[in-house]
Amino acid sequence: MKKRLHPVRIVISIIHLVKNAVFPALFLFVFHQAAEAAWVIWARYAFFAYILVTICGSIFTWWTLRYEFRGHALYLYTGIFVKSQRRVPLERIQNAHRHTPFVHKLFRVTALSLETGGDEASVKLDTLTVKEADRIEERLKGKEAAQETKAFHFKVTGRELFKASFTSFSFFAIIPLLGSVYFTIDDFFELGGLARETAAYIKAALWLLIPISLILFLLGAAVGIVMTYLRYGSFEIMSDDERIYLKKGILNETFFTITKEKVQAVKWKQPLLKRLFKLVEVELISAGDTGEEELETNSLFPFLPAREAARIVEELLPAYRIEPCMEKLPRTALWVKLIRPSWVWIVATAALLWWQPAYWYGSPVLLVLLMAGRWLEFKQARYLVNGAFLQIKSGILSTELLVTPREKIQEIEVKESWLQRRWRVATIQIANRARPVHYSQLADVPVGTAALFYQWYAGRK
Amino acid sequence: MKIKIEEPDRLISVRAVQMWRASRMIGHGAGLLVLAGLIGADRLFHWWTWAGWGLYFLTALTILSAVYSIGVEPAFLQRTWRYRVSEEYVQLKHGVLTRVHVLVPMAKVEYVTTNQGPIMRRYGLYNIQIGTMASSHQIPAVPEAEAIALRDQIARLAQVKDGG
Repeated sequence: MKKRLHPVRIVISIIHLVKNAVFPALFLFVFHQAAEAAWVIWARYAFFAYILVTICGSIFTWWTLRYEFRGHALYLYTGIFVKSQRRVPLERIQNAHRHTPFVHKLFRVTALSLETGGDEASVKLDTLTVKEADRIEERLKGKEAAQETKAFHFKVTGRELFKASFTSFSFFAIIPLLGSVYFTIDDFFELGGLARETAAYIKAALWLLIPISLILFLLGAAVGIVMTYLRYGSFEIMSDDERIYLKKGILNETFFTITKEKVQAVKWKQPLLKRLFKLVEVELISAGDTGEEELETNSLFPFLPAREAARIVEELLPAYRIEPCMEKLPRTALWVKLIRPSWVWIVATAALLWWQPAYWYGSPVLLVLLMAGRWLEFKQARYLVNGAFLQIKSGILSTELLVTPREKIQEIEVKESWLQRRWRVATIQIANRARPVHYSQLADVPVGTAALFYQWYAGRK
Repeated sequence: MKIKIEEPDRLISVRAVQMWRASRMIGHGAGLLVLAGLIGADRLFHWWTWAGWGLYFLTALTILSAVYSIGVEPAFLQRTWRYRVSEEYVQLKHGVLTRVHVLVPMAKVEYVTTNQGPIMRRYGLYNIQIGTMASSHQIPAVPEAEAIALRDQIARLAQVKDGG
């Protein structure tokens, strides 16, 4: 039986239309008079035509878009003038995720997108009743999920959200926000003069900057907290035997499913600030396509407390046991890193001496910074072959620790440059399936370790 | 790097040296012709000074690159290229200054093709391209009969399915 999406879809498209049309409408009907010029009249006709066409379009799209489950496949019928039919075998559907924007929530409907691993776009059923979405997901899981027992792993608390809002720098979000408000208003009410007057006034009384920046900072912090709360509030991680489920968002609710078998590697990301707060972002590198919100979908909660994170990963993917005690690079690696010529420095120095010889001291400063970076890189680097798992940690200020099982590594490469051969070290690189392909490498491991790593990988099966 | 398993040992064709020299000569020749044309135009139409300098700089670079990549590199490249195809994996090893060792499990091989351009055809050589989910690798300049046998061998061995 062919089904249509929920008719509320038309209403929702009209709401979107209204949202998009507000500013053009203000522009055409409030700020410009019909008497002003002929183009105003024409633009108004065009505006009405656009609205009419869009409304008709949304009705027809709703009418013609139908879906049907027949046999072991999902059939999708679309098109107003050009009819198209698409067949998606159920076993090809890798991940499902549910997204409920605020407007959808008002009408008690939700959007379901089904990811097929291949090159084709995901299937989007964007207005379904929650019940229908449940029914479809049930159907996709088949019999195996009959015993719906999801284990519960993590639920975000207010305190964590508060910390998260500071480490994510979201309080800086106020700057573009204020900027866009200013420019939008400026477009219509010529604020240029006002801004200049204000600036002149502040310049006259510089102490005013202190309360102003304080207020801006507090405002920014408040906005940051609210934004983090709206994005990540009610974040939950659950799982059953085969899948991992993520839920997040207050106004716009999102529900992701990741198939465990498709996980290729686990990555721990720690930028400097998160390291200070002992937070970590755990990313699952997954073979299936995860849709437009790719970067976010793969990440478990980006602000997990480090200790919790280890527990959660172990619960979700018991095979991935992360060994915290890893091998360091040998002393010689540091010398190689320090000696290696830096193209950045050579080019920058040449350019500086050529154009601005007066600032020659910039060159040694840059060199010191680069060397400090390399020293940090040496300090951070760790590696470990742990049974059938490989662990690689690298980074300068922010660090990344990758854990992947041998059978999920697609290929390896060992590189020895002329300099590295002199110091008996080598660079190892692995490739994991993902979109795009995920490469991780570690420079300057002892050549003996590189050989062992090569043999370790050759000994798969 | 010394490894305890068998190292890649098969060589690519000795004719690769001539083939690379010929094709790189054509490439550099074409590049120099274009540059000569541009320099001529620069003289005629008096472009900005920096454009002239840039063109002479590019010409010098091209000549340097020609000396290295026609005169020096092909022989070394041919001498250092090794590969080995076994039931379990494809091993590649190449490079003069930077030595690269690649190991691709046969189970991860998705496709294998042979290809040749017009210059390679003159020398009866083929490239073998081995693709995985992640990337693709090339064994350059293999004599025709050997190349086709190798392609079929890899295709046959790669049938084995692997879950990952």
